Amino acid sequence: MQTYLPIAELPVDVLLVLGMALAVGFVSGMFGIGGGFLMTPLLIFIGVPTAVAVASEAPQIAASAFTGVLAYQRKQAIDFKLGGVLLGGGVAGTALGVWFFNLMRDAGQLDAIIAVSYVIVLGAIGGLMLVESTRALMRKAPPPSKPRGVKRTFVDRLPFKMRFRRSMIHVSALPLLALGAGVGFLGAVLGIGGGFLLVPALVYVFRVPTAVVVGTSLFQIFVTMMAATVMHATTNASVDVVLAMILMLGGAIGAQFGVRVGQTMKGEQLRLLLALLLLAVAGRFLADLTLTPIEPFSVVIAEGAR
Amino acid sequence: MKLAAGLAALVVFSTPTRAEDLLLALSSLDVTIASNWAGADVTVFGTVREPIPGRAYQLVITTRGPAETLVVREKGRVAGLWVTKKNSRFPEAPSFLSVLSNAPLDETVDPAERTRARLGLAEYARGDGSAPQAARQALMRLQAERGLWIEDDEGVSFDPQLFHATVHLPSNTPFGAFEVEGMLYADKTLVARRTITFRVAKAGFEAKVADVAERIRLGYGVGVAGLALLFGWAASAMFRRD
Repeated sequence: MQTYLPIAELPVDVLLVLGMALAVGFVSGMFGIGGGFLMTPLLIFIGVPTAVAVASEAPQIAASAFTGVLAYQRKQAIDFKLGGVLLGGGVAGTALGVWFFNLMRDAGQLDAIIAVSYVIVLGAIGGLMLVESTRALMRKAPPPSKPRGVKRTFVDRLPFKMRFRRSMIHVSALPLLALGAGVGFLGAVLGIGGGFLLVPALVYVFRVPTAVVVGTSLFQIFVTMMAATVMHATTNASVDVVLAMILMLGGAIGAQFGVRVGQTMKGEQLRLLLALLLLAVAGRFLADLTLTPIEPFSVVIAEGAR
Repeated sequence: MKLAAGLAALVVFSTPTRAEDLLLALSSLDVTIASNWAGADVTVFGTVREPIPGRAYQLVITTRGPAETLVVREKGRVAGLWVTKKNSRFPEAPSFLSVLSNAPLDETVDPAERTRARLGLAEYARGDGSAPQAARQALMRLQAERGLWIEDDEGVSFDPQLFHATVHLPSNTPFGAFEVEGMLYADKTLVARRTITFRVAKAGFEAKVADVAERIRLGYGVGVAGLALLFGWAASAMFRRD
């Protein structure tokens, strides 16, 4: 079943896009991530222009995340204060990221920068998670709960401490703002929500309980992607409402099943699966970068022509 | 498009100074892109007026879409990684190009005339002369693969007087004004030349969406964001178990 996308300006198979959205929505619900790092390459692969792909997937991520936010809010598993601090850093990081994005695009090396960034970021996070989750799974007995506040690191010595009751942490706002900024920066450059960066950082560095991390991460993604939707629409007019609606429909349904499956699994198992997924995507980009391409040429219409 | 949609013939009166003239017509002057768009065919047909009996005619029908600056990127190895190494620009290149004829182009005209009259894909791939040969070849090959640049020396059917040719517009056709140029040759000399245009444009819902997205940007963005809220809430309301 073909339909024409008015902004992307190409006909697509509705069922194919719906299927992709279901699959990515499933993954997103299962791990509490936006799934942008999967959807962007998929949409570009079927011929959607990069700018339209990134922009039209923002409302889908927002919708999926909103569903998650509502679900986690019912369980009181969102730390809005923590999310707010992260968002504060995120605004600055996003602005910086957009500036860097345009700088690289003008230099003509955006594709390479994006591919290298994907390999490094996804590879590093995926690798770390793989090692950690495998170790956790290898242990016979469930791991003892991590001691809190026993080992003092430099993070604990920073000023402007804040207490986050729901997350049961008491840390300085500075590293949280920095984390938000870093995620915002990478999000703007790579066209992703950044949940897969946020979740492990909150779990491993700030020791926020996993239950609260997913809800809070979804909240942060939701707000960021709502803002991104409006920003993409106003600056580039590149949001395709037809594409976005197909993605939202598939994503919303897929996420429901993902959440259910995710809840039946152990944290370590989830992290192992996510690690493998991240490494697979990183591997795909690495192959693109290192293997001799079958077609070394490509044709594009010069920027700013439309 | 359908022939029945209207034989939008553009009548061109012959000039008294020439013996032969061309009469060109299109099956459609407006190709509209709606939700079921999957490409279209535009038929160019017409006749040679006042032909000299016994004379062999060659007809080249060139259809050009809106001009764009096309960039051919070439990947190369830098520190073990394949990254874009070279960009070759082709300014004022037709985003769509179809060169149809009833005989091979090199039999129709001499190379000098071929360059002057810009007959064939290779003439357009010349660009401003700055691009290397490999990039020109790649441009022709890749555009052909996407159905955007077509050359067919059997693309024009020529009966003694009537001719017709079919221009295939692929689903990824650019939109805007398309120019169809018919060039009639006899004995390697241009004897008549006529142009006719058609438009490819979005229609109905698709046109409205694109128009609103372009003009009322903030409203459109807020609207899509609102849809996201609606979808997210609806999914939550429908699937909640607790």
